[in-house]
Amino acid sequence: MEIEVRGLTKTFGQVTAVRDVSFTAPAGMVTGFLGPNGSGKTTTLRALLGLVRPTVGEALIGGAAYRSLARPRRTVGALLEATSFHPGRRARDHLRVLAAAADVPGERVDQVLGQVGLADAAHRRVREFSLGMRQRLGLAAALLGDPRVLCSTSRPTASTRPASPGSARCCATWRAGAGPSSSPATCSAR
Amino acid sequence: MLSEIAQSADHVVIVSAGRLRFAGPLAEIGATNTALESAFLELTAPPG
Repeated sequence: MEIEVRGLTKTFGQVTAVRDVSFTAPAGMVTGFLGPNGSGKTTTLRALLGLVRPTVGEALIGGAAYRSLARPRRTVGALLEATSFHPGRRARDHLRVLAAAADVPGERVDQVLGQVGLADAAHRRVREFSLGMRQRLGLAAALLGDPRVLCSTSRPTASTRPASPGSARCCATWRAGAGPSSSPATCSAR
Repeated sequence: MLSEIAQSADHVVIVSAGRLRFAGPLAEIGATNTALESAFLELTAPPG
């Protein structure tokens, strides 16, 4: 399942955040999405996830706009920077709520906790988590529906790699550290 | 950060100032950190 952005333009008032951008993130691959801060990466990903409406053009996942996906959490996992958690909730309970809402079997919760290395912290409250652990919990949430496409702001890790050749992974963005002020994004599609 | 992309990505899309600068296989740029970083800096440099 591939990501396809076609002729995407997004303006906010007088500001053009993205101007006529087209690209494909092919299935079965990890695509790095790079650009300096303010270059339009986040707007592009938000268009892909149906969080902003394109002014012109379209952003498609497997040929369909996000809003028309029948089972979005099973198709695309998203981890953008604004992931928020209830601080008093335990990691496992946070994921159980999301699993129930997305009609994902409960056993996926322990699977994804293991996948991101949080199995031992499953019963701890999120307020005790470090930033890195919160990011991994966000990634676990994105992976719950075993999505064919993954868009995330975390660093690419073993768990963001395509798990099997038949189904997809696409899109991880993460903040830049040192060096040029850029925040790369990767898309992995399986 | 770019080194992580150089190590883990197969395909690269580079944008700057809202415009597409590059989309294609990482191998087209060069799969080393140095090659990717110089391509990135060149492609995203402000005009002029």
